[in-house]
Amino acid sequence: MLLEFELNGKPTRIEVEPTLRTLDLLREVLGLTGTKEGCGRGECGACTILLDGEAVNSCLLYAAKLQGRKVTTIEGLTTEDGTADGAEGGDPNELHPLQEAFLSEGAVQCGFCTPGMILSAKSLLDRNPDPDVQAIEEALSGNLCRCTGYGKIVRAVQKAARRGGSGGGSGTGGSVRSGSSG
Amino acid sequence: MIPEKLRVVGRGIPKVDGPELVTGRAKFTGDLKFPGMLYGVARRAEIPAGRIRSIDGSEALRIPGVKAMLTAEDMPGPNIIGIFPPFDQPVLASREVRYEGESLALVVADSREAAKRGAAAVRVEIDPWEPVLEIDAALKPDSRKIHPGGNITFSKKLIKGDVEEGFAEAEVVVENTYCTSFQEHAYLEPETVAAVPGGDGRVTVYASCQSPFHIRGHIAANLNLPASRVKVVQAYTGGSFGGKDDVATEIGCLAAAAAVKLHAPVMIAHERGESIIGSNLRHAARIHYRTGSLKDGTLLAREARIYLDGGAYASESPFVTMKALIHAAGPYNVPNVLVECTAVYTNKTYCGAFRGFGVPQVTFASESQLDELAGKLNMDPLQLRRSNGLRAGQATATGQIFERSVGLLQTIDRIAEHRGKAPAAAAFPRAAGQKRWLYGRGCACLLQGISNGAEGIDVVGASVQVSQDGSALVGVGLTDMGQGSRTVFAQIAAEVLGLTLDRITVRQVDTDSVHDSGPTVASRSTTVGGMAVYKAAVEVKTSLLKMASLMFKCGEDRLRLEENFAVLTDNPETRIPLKEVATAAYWTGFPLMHLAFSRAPDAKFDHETHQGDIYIAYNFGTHLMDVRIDRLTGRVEVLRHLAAHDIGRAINPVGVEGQVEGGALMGFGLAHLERIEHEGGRIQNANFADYALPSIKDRLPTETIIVEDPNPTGPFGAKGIGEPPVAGTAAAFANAVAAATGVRFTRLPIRREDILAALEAQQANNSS
Amino acid sequence: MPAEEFFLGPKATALRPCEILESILIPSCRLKGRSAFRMIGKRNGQVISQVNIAVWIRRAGSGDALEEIRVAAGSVAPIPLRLKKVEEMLRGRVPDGPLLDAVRRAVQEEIRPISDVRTSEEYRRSVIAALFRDALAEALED
Repeated sequence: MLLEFELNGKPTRIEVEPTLRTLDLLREVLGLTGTKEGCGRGECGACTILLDGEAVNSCLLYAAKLQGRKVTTIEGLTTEDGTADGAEGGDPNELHPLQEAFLSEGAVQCGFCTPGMILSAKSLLDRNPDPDVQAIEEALSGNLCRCTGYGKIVRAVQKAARRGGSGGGSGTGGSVRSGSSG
Repeated sequence: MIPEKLRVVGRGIPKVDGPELVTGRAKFTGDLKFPGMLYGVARRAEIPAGRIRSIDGSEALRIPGVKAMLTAEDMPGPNIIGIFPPFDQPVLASREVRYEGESLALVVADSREAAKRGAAAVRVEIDPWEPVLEIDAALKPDSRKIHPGGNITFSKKLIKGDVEEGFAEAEVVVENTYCTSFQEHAYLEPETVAAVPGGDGRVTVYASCQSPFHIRGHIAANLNLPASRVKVVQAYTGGSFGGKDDVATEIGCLAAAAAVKLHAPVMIAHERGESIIGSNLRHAARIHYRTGSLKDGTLLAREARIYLDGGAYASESPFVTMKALIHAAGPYNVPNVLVECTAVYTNKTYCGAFRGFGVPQVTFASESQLDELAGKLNMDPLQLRRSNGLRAGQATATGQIFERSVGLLQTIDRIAEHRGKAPAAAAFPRAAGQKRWLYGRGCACLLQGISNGAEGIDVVGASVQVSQDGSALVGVGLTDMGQGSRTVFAQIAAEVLGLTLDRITVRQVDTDSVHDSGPTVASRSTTVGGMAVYKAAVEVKTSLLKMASLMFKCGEDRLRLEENFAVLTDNPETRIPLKEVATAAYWTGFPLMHLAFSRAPDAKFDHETHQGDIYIAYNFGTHLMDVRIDRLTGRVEVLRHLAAHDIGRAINPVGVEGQVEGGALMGFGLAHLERIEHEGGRIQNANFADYALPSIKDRLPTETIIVEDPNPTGPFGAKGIGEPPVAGTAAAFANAVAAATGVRFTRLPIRREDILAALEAQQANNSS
Repeated sequence: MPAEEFFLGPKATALRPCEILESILIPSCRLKGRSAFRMIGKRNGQVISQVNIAVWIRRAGSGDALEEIRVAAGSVAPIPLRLKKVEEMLRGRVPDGPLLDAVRRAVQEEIRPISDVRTSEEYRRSVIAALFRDALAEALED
């Protein structure tokens, strides 16, 4: 089928088998290897991407389901255009507040769960900018980590929330970067 | 050696490789792509034991995309891997099957799907044998021999003093049998390798691993190549914890053999199910333990008989056996100790290295004993430990005496300071259903030997190279699998050379560029690895100082290197940028690269009694845990967890916390949530749904307490911290649950259902 | 068809080949009243249920007798199980202490759990009493 969808803020058209796993579409076909495979059964969250802002396991998603929708991967948090939702103006090396918080709080060890963990957190902060601990736990309960013990991950999400961590607004584009993510 | 004021060492700086990890740019092995790359998938045995009659790949080879099938015959070399001679594990089994999931053949195809289909289409004929599944069955004299030499993998004793005399004098004795279960590493990244044949007759293998030199040696042997033709590069590794030793070697050999045979890059990436079944587990243990003391709590004698279920192949069993022996008596001053430890073969997935390496199992037993003793003596459990705790100048269970860096008592005292009142229902007055909760507090003390100890030579190679622009490249033979060793090495180099961290790069580990440094295990990266980096940096610093002294026209002793400058100590305004010093040093002919070698003193001990000097240092720790238990469901909530460790010196306190928090949760898994379920030798829960590794909602409220009693053999006094938290947390949890329920659980994991069953039995007993 | 008739066995439903489940209809009269659900597994997050139970009640006011009640449990039988004997014990009654003790025992007796990789039959039978207690308590809250 001819698949048309928005990937990290950019319109994308590609011929694919409709039953190709989105995880494989991203990693093998499009070369975006930031999204990881940890179990292939939707039990670990390493393959988490955002679909219209909602965290989903891309190992359980057929490419056909992406038709006409917006996909954000970890690569989309620092795009050439700046922030995740494609708003103009920005430094490709500038990190999203969640990425910075994960770094400064020591919430990254081996880093394999990190892309999925950050995207689940982003999905939370985009709809709930001031989450309590329970909300953070709920949002991240589908992302397993074996290295950190999770404590610093929770603190990183809280820190990003305090900084106004939703970054680039709600995806309506526009020429000025919104949010206090700087 | 330790300068007065440290600038970089001791600071909790973010990981130097953090940015590439949080952006997803870091390439793990599975992210690598090579032109013409093929994929390999193993055909595995579906029964736990039997004689292989035939392996037929004709159907598999007819599947479109399949290029080849390799069996044992296709290994140019001996088709053997292992950790300790006699190596007893085939890369591909050809004569017999010893565990369900064992690799029999490798199918290579141009896509992963075709390789999987090919593997499924391989026809195997096996005459099944009755599997030997339990320790006792394996030890029966008439049981089938899993290996030609019988079913005992390794057996050793530790003898200190005379336990019979000790028990004769003892006024109180406690005795019990404890068991622990098989645990799975469950790193998020499954095992992956990619072998790329070079036009120059070499083969490069990229691997998610922790022992690249080990892999190189085995690949060379099995491919019948000189080791110099094989290069192993450690890609970013998504966790290992001891689990990517044997299996990375197995698939490294397979991928390399296939790559060389087919003249194409070959990737093998395990799926989660085969990762759990096809790679090593933590040994299950059965420990019979007896402790004798005087009425005042003075320990006189400790005797333990340990059986380790090591599964189908030896792997690290000999070393785990030795480590269990050495640590079984705990961090106490005990004059008489007898420990016997035997590892046994069974027809189950083989067991090997797993963070802690035998120490978590024996610590659970030892610390349960101490609480049982404290109960009989009516003594405070922490006080009992304190009065027996090892002090500097006292002999360990192996008779080794450390004059320095024995910080156990300090960790006990810090716990005592911080612990506050034990939890009780009254502290939670408004909790709904108050009578529903049982409250308890448990503590545990532990020791964990740092680095290889009795396991063989302990060397690490490191290189430091300063360029003319004043930036430094550091190479070390030890791997970062997430624990942050690259960052620690960068900090040490930065501290010595006076450079800021942004001027330091720690390179990827590859076997071409540094001395064989053995495996990254045993909490040795910071201590032995850090020492090698320190030495290499000091040599280069010497060149820089010599050059600077010429430029300043004064003695080297009046100069300092800091913040990218060479500085006159008395007048810091007088300074020269280090990049000018480096350029001048190059042009003057002072060497700016040094390859250093850190060698820990060999262990010297009697192999019959394990008495002697074994470890360069021990990490000592004390844990405290408060729990509350729901009487109606068996659910446990950890209200508080204090973890105090003497780590000599914290090079990076945030990194230390990360290791303590992560290791603690792994110990909690061992003690409460995780159990590999075998039935008839087949693992039933090889997935992340039914193998309950902790989620974010299961995390602990761990508070890390750092005690620093400097270790003379470590850089800036440091000792390792990777493993100790596992043992401390598991043991403290068991004691907390015992305190809360009044029931002594002697089997790990203590699951909700075990707690509920015990409480119901207790209630039935009380009412009858 | 009634939901009860839809579930036939483990992973087996009344769907015939080439049929697809199109909609689930909940009568509006069921939207009155209160419901609660409890489950338990090996751990707190990403939980695969060892046993679970749902309770729906309708009554005129707090302290009144239960006009209507439904109780269903999962992972205790080959299919999601309506606990009809339990419902009968509670229908039209005021849920007080002694009645609830008897009802909890009835819950434990009416389910038909097995031991499997997730947990033992004994644990399922023991713990469902606590889950039922908690679910009912939540549903009875005003």
